[in-house]
Amino acid sequence: MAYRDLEIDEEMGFQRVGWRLERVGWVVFALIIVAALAGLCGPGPLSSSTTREGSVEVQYDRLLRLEAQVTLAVTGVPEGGELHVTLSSAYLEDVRIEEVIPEPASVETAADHVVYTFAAAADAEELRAVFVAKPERIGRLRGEAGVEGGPSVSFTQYVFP
Amino acid sequence: MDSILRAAAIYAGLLLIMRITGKRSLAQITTFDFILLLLISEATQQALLGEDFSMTNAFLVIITLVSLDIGLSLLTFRSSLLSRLINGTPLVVVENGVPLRERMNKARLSESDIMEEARRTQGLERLDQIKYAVLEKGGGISVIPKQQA
Repeated sequence: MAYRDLEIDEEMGFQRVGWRLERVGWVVFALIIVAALAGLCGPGPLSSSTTREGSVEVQYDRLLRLEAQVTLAVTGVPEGGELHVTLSSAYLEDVRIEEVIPEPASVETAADHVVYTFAAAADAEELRAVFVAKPERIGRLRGEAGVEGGPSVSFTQYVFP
Repeated sequence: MDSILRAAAIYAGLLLIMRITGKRSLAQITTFDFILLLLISEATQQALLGEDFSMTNAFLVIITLVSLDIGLSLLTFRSSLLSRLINGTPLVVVENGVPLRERMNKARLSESDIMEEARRTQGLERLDQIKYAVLEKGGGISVIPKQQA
């Protein structure tokens, strides 16, 4: 459209494309919100996973965010009042363990893993150890958690920036 | 290195989000727009600085953001296509007292928005006193009154 006395660089074709893209953008925003609520952008319902291997159960999140706290829980059957939980050393290089609940009685380093020893009550049938961790690297993390001399679970996590 | 990449990623991300949100949303028309702006800056701050609160990091981030802005302004100054892409184009929404409805709807602009601006900046009383109203690139509305006979 031309205006007799208005000097303006209006461009309707461009404007219409812009409006269409704007509306596409709104739909994308809505999809991102839904995905995030479902847990596709970090910890949430679709991200959390539980894997059982024999007597060992590992609960973890598949999708994490850089520097955001997450938990990894290992449940096992204590023997002789103790449970020895192992975590692969390679995994511990990618995350920083902030807290272990309950407090381990001792932590030992082996060739390719670290052993956390927890004291259990004599009649305890199961012990659940929770590791509060912060991922320190973007990308795919591979970890292995289990019970020393028993089964272990391999898991993969993806860390968003 | 990390802080430069962070700043660049956030600059690009915010540019895209603001472009999609539309020019009117954050033109600080209502008090809530202003609060929204503060909230957005608050949400950005952590990701921008990470866990590094040193002065070196702060200045690196600031220099990166300002440099990107200078670079972008140079590019948009040279290329009109890029300028239209990033800054948008102005849009005439009232012509000779007649509101252009389709355009106003698309731009989410109501007649009362235009009249508010007409009253505030030109002291006009009715729509038919407006010769042109233009929704500018930045989201503001310019009102040009008809010449008084």
